[in-house]
This record gives sequence, structure tokens and C-alpha cells, in this order.
Amino acid sequence: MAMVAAIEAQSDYKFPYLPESNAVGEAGQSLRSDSETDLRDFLLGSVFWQRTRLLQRTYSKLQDLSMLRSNWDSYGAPSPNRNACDNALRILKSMKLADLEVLNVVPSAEGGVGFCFKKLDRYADIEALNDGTILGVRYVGMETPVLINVDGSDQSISAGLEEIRNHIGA
Amino acid sequence: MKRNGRPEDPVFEVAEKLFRRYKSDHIVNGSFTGVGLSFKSAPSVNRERYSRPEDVLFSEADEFENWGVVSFQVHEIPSPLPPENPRYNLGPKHVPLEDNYAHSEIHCEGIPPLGYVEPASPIRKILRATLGQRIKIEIESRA
Repeated sequence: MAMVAAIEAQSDYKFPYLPESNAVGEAGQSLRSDSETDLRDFLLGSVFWQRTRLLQRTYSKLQDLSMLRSNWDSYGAPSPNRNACDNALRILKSMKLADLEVLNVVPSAEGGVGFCFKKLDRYADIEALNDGTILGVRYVGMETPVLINVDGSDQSISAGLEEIRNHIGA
Repeated sequence: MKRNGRPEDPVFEVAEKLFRRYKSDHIVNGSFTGVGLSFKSAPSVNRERYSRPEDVLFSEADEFENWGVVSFQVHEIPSPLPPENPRYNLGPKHVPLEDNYAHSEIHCEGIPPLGYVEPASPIRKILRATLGQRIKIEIESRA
């Protein structure tokens, strides 16, 4: 349950308040409507807000994965454990908006969490595994896959994501 | 699907398909991702010679309703690995079960062979990615 709480803590984002006004009647309605439109336009154009929104969605998915039962694939796959979820959170924190826009979060059949990226025929993934290791791979179409070396340090995670970003063209 | 006393059949044609069930989670932009495969132990498949794709979805309790089926051919299993300095041979092995004669496994043996060995983690990663590239969807998952 501590793992779920840790993931929930990540998604505890406070929405900005709408501006308050004492105006009543048609003028008040118009003011509130204009404020809401301005706020929506501002948020839609905000890289910070878009990233926050996508992170929220991803935390939620990660929370679902942390509650998977073992044998979820019917071939005996283990559920993601604390090591995998902790490392998955570290990887997520290093992601930029461009990463999140093409991200698919999936359970790993080896036990863990997989972050998959694909644009046209360019594919990459990075897995946070139950044994605490992080492994990545990238390829184009049917070309030979190339390993992405991640030693578990924050620097290597950022470098791995940078390699994926360059590969995918995100 | 029952074995009915039939013997193990060790011969696989190179074009023979091997079937496996999956859920839609592992389809990324229309392609199966190798993240949905594991080689920590020999993965189970059903061989085409003795089964149809939908047989891997058979369950008396309807456990696999809306699941899908993927396939790859025997010659698509990358072997030996790694190609530049081979340490492992991979291939299908017929392991019939009483209620599933077509049941087979993808076996990985060290060089020299001493039974199933778990490939080293980076090699497993490449192996899973390579099979993920080659896998085809036979029945689309709606689960």
C-alpha cells in the first residue's frame, strides 16, 4: 500500500483557482465566461500544464499496474514490485512533454513496468524491472535492435531518455 | 486438442507458426511490443501443425474472452545469440500436455548445450525486441 500512496502523492496536483468576482447578472456571467475561456486557452498553450496533465494520466496508469495480480498475462508473469514502481517514478520524473505525448505504459512480462514509444516505424522502450535494473532498446522497422545502456543513476536515465527522444524524433 | 497418447513430435518446419495469446496493452501503435514477452523461463506457445490460432484462447471458464492471438514463424526466432559471439541457441521444442497436444516452448540452450538456460539480461532484452518486431497479429484483442 506504501507503493500506491507514493504514486498517489505524485498525482496530488492542485488546480488553479478561477478568478473571483462580485459581479452579478449578465455582466457577472460574461466575466466568468471570459475568465474561463482565457484560462482554458492559457492552459492549452502551456507546456507545463500539458506535461502535468499527461503525468497525471501516467501516474494513474502506474497505480493500476502496481495493483496487478501475478499471472496477469496467463503465462505466469509477476506483478510489478516496489523496486520497479520506484524506478518507474524516477524515469517518469525525467520525461519531457514530448516523451509523454508518445508514451505507452505497459506491464513487463519479465516483471516490472515498460515505457514504450513509437512513431511510424521508429520504436523504443525502457523497462524498470523487479530486480531493480533498468533496460532499454531501440530500433527502426526490422533493423537489428540496439540496447540503451542505463546503469540506474539519474544521469543515465536522463541520457537514455535523450537517446530515445533523438531516435523517435520526439 | 487432447494428447490421446500421441508421442512428442520434435520436427518443426521453418515456416510453421507458433501462437500465443495477448491483451491489447501490449499493442503500441499497431505493433506488438517485446515488453509483453519473457524469457526468464521457456515461453509457452502452441504449434500450428497441431492447432489453430483460436485454440490458445480456449478456456472452459471463458478466461480469455476478448484476448487476442499473435504468431511468429519458427525461422523468425533469432538464433544463435548474440550473432557476433554466439553463446545461446534458441528453437522450438514440442512439450505436449494431456489437454493441449500442440503445447510447445521456445527453448534457450547455452553453447555447449546443458538444458534450458536463462539468457543474460541484455541478451533477453534484444531477443524480446527482435521477436516483438517479427510478431504478427492473428486475432485482434479487445481486452
